[in-house]
Amino acid sequence: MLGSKLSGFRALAAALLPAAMIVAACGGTTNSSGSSLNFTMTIGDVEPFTGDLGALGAPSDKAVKLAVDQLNKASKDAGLSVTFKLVSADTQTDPQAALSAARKVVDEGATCLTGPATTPESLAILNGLTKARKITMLPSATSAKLRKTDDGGTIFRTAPPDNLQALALIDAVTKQLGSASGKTVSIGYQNSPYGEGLANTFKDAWEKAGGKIQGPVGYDPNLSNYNAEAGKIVANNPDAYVFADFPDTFGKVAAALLRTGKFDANKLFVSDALAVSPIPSSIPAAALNGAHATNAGSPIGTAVAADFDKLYTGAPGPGRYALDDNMFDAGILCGLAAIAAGSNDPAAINGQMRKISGPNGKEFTFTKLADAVKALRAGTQIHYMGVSGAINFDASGDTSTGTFDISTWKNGQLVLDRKVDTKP
Amino acid sequence: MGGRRVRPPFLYMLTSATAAQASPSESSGVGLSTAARGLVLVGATVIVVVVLIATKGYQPAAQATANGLVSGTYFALGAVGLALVFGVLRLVNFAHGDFLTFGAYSALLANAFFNLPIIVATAIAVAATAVLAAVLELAVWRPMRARRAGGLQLLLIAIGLAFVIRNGIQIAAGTEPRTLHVDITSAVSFLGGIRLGTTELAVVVIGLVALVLVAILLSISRLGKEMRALADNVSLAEVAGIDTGRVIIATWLVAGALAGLAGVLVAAAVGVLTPQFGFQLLLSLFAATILGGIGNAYGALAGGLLLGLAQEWSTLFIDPRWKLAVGFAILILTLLIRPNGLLGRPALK
Repeated sequence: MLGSKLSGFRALAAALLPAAMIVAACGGTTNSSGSSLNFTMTIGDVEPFTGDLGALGAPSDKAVKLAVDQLNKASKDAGLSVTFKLVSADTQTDPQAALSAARKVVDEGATCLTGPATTPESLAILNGLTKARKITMLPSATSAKLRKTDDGGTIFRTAPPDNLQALALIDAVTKQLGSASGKTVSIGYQNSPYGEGLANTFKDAWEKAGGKIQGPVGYDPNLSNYNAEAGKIVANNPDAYVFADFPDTFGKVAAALLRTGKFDANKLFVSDALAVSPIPSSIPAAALNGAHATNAGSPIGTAVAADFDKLYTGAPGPGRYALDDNMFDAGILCGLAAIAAGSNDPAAINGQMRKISGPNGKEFTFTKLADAVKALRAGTQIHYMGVSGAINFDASGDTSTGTFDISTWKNGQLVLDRKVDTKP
Repeated sequence: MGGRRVRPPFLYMLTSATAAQASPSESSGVGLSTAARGLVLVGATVIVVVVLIATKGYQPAAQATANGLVSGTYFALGAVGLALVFGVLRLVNFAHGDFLTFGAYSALLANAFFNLPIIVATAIAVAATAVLAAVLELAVWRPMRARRAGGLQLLLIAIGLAFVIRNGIQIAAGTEPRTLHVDITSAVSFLGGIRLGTTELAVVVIGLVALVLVAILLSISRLGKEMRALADNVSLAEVAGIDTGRVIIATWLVAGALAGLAGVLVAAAVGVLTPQFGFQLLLSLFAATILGGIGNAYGALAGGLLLGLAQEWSTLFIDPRWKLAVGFAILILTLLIRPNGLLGRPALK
């Protein structure tokens, strides 16, 4: 009796399921060949608003929000009825929480994700959600590990991977020391894919250039006592220190470094996660004033960098921070891919990503976004020229542009020295 | 299906382990008394330091020992409170780490917002955390015990309280890292090359003084004796005329005060506070308590200091990344050799 009830239910479900699927598939799309598109696209921004990289969350989210505003304006100016929405969620710089955050935004309709900011979080979301559902993810995580991950073509990065940032660091250190040969660099890094990846890539490249490496000294972010690690890093008076770390942890390590009495901030070079301006109260200013930072930068001499700076600083909210221009580009790319695909379907959006990023196609920057949208509707291939560079996604989904800013902290503020172009 | 409830294995292990311990000042035929064992430990530590100096040189070994004393001090302060509560109440207080956080943030409120000097802020933190512990006893633990809540239920309540306290602090103070108004960058050199931050030195001195005071309180004062009697056998203590309710409140006050002090010391030594730090320390505090002998406050004191020392000594030989693992490896090794911890009674065969 029970068995027959169940089988009846199963039959009903079997009949309803294909019908439901057809309805769901129809829900997000309308005619893509007609002259006017009409759908709502939701971009999901998963950022660390709290946690070790908590300093990054609000500025990145502001950048994606600005992108969504620009997309809505362009869509209206081009005469389309496409609306762009943004939903954000906090990843807490933790892989498990990141997956929950991603699920939350996807449940609220997101078909393209910007963020997260670290590699473990990206892998958690990839394996738990986006790979299976073919949802494009544009993390600002920069470790080289993501290049080798089998992502099914769903991960694209507008931020140059860390193997290029290591080259920028090499350039900065060599310029200060005069040459690499015979000089000792002491490396400190946070025990995470970001830290370890940068530390090892820098080590290999520096040793190849004839230099010597002290360490690398890795440390866990959750410890309470970093005196031993700091002692090892400053021992033997190295010619320079290179650090790959996040702000919260570095606050603790920096205090320990200063206490050794042997630490000279002018010899310190840090990677982009620490490129915070102004220096936060959690990091002793004496550890960073005079130190140098590398940070993915806008291409040299382009007007679009100045335009974005005006847009960003003119909007309410936090000030500029590392990778905000890359996240802006990520948001724009999500929207343009949807228009290019003519639908809100994740797989279709994913298919258009590489095509709109160059190198082929008519070039448009964000200031001419309405024209780009019109060109797409007319069937022309476009090349979105990002604030962070020409994009040009390569075979691994990484940007081909490796322009880095090298800056120095003066009186608590990060001041740009020069830019360097790196090639893999 | 009446009759005995089967206790969960973990709790069974804990309670049978403490049942095997007698009060610290008693000496029976089985093994050394706690005081004698304590002296053996001190002697062994001194020998280790001498060996390290001989093999690694004076400065590295002495520096590592000094670093170890810094973290060992606040491990010990936190672990003693944990052990007292467990000894008297058989309660594994999972919220203890968050007591440390509460203390640190109370000091932050007084120091950074009301601009009170750090000494006053520390006193406020100690008092506030003691009050918190007492309030929780009256509002949560006493009613639960009256209702005959089992060990597992009390454990779950403790875990729940941990989340409530931690998230309450997060809502009130935000998640971004904060700093106390203490100098975390200047340092002093002494004893031929050992270098410690001025605040770290203060932490060690204050912490060790507090630990000594607690040890004296436990052994000499009447309250201390009553606490130890309760830890032995609640029914016997009641029969002997001890007001268990009063002693339990006093235990919570002491445990809370120690946790508050430990929290401020950690915040001062590390320099940076986040709402998670107490919970992140909790595992080390448990390790220290177990290392010293569960429920034995003197053991927790020794365990905390030794854990801190062992972690820093290990950096002389292996990559500092393994620091945490070393601490726990030593814990496991000790338990394999002495299942009741360093200062617990030897296991009855």
